[in-house]
Amino acid sequence: MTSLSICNVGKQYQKGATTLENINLEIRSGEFLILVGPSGCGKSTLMNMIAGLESVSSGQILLNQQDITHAAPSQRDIAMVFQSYALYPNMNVYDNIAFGLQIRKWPKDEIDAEVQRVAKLLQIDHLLKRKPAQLSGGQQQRVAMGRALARRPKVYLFDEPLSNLDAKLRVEMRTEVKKLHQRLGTTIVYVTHDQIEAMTLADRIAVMKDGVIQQLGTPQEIYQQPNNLFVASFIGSPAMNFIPVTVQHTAQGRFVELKDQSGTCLQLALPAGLAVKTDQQLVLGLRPEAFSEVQPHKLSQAQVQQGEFLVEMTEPTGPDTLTLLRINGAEVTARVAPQANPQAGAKLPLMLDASQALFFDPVSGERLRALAQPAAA
Amino acid sequence: MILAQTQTARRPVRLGLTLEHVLPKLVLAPSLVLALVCIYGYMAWTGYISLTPSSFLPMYELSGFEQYQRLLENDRWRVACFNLALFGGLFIGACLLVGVLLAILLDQRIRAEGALRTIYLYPMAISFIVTGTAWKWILNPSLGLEKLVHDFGFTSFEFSWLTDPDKAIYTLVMAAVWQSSGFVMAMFLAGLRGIDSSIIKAAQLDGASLPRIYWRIVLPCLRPVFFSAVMVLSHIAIKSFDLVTALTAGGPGYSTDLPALFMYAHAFTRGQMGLGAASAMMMLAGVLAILVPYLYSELRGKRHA
Repeated sequence: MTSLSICNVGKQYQKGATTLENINLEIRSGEFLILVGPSGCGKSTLMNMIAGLESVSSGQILLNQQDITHAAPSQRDIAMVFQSYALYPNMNVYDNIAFGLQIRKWPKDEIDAEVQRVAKLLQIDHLLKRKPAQLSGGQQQRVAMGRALARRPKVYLFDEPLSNLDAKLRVEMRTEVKKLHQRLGTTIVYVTHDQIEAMTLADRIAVMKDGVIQQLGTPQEIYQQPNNLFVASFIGSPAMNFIPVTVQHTAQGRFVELKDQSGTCLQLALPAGLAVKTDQQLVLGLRPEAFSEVQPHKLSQAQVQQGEFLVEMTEPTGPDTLTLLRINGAEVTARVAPQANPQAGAKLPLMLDASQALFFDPVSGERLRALAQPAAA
Repeated sequence: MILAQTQTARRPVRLGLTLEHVLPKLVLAPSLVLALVCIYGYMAWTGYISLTPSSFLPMYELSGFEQYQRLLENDRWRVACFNLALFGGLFIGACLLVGVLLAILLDQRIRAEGALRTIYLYPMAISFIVTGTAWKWILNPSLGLEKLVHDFGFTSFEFSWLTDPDKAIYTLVMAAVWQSSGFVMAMFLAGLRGIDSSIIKAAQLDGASLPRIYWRIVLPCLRPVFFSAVMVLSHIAIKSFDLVTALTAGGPGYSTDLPALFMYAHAFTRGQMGLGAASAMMMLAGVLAILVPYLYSELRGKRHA
C-alpha cells in the first residue's frame, strides 16, 4: 500500500532563516501520524512541503518509493483538509466534492456515484444543494473532509482541521476523524498544536520545536518517556511538574529531597544506574497524577510514600481537584480526588508515587536515562 | 438647600445634553439644504424646463413632450446615443479586462508590488481634461506617435484615428481605459486579497491549473466586485464630458458627440434650453435605469444576510 518517507528534508527561506532542518520521518501505510508543536515550529511548512505547496530546499520526499520532491501538487495524489476548510464559496456542496473529479475527467455517472458515497459516509447527503455559507462550522468541516475523501488519494493531510470549531464540536469531530481512520485505514498526516488531539488520535506523534523533531513515538512513549524538558512540558494537561532537586548521598544510596513550606520532607531514592554525581543539580519531572490522595492499598508499593503538604490553591475540575503545592520553591500541581477535600491554606495528607519520576539535566534539558544494567560500582 | 444644589448642578448637564442632541442635526442641516435645493431641486426644475418650449431663457408654460419628440428626431442626438453605446460598451469591457488582468498579475506576490500598484492607479488622480489633452498630443499625426515612428524611419506608418470620423470614437476609448483601468485593478486587487489563499491551495491539490482556478473559483467569487465596477464605469461613461471636450471636442464634425456634450451645447451655447433639458432628463433616466436595479438587489441582499 502507501508509505511516505521524508528523508533529510530541509527548508530555507531566501532571507537566510532556516525553518526546517534535516527532517526524517517514515510514515507507514495506514498510519495516523501527528505533527504537534507550538505555533511557528515549522509543522505547517512541513505539511505544505508534503503537499507540494511549498518548495523543498534539500532532501527528498518519497511516496511509495517514488520521488515526488519536486512534483506539482496535482501530480502527487495527496488530499488536504485545511484549517479554514477552504471550500469553494461559489459552488454548492455537490460541486465542491465533485470539482477534483471533474478536473481529473471522471465520467459523469462515476462522479455522481462517488459524491453520493462520500456524502453518505459523512452524513452530509441532505446538504448537497447548499452553498458553504449556509452550513455550520461542523458541516463545512465534513464537506472539506468529503472533498478529500472523494478522490481516494494515497495520503491525507489534515492541517489543524478542528481548531476553528467550538470546544464541544471539536471533541465530537475528533471522535469522528478517528472512526473514519479506523474504518478506511488510510494514511494520514495530521498537524495540530493541541496536544490532547495528538494524544487521542495518533498512532505516532512527532513533537516539533524550532524546525527540529524533538521526539517521534507512540502517544504513551511520548507521555511517559519524553526525551527532554520541552516534550515533557508540551505534552500533558495540566503540564508536568518540574522540581529543582540536589543529589545527596548517604550509606543507603543516593537520593533527592522534596521539601514543603510546612516542613514536610520526603526523600526520593534515585534509580540505580543514573549517571549523576553527589551535589549535582537536577530537575525532577513528576506528572500531576503522581501526587494523589492517600490510597492505603498502594502504600505498600516500592516507590510510594506519603506526607502532609500545605495547599496553596485548589482548582476543581469535576473528576479531580487540581491542588497547588509548593515543593523546593517550585509550584506543583497535584491531581486529587474531590473527596479528599483539599482546602487552600490547610495541610493535606498526600501520597507520592515516584515510579514514573523522570530526571532532566537543567542545562541541556535532556532526560537522564538510567543505564540498562545497574552499575556494579 | 439641597434642592437648590441639585438644580444648579443639573442645569449644565441638561444644556450639554440638548447640545449633544441638536449639534449633529445643526451640522448636517446646511448640507441637507444644499443637497435638496441644488441636486433634487434643480433636477425637478430641469425636468420642468424639458416640458416647456424654452430657448435662450427659461419659459414656464408647458408644451408637453414636444422637446422629447424633437430630441428623438434629432440626428445629432442619435449619433450621440449610438456613440455612447459604442464608447460605453468598449470602455467598460476593456477596463474590466485590463483591470482584472493587471490585478491577477499583481496578485502573484511579485516584487515592488506597491510601486507598480501606484503607477497603475496614478492616471486616476489626473483629471480627464489632462488625460484628454495628453492623448490629443500623443495621437495627433503631426505631433505624437505617428511622427515618432516616422522619425525612426518607418515613413509608411499611419495612425490618424483622431482625425478619422469613423475611428475617432476609439481614441476616446483608449484614453478613458488608460485613465480608469487602474482603478478597476485596485478594486479587483482588494477583492482578490479578500479570498482565502487556502482555497487556491485546495484547488491546486484538486489538480486545477492556475487559469482554471481563476476562471472557475476566484472570478465567480468576485461577482460583487464586477457589479460595483460596472456601476462606477457606466456612470463615468454616461457623464463623460471633459474627456471628449479636451480630446476631440466632439469632432471631427459631431462624429464623437456624446449625450453630455450634446446637452451642454444645446442648453448653454445654442440657445435651445428646452431641448438640452430634455436630453439631460434622458441621461438621468439612463443612469437611474442602471442604478435602481443595482441598489434594489444590493439592499435586498443586505436584508437577507
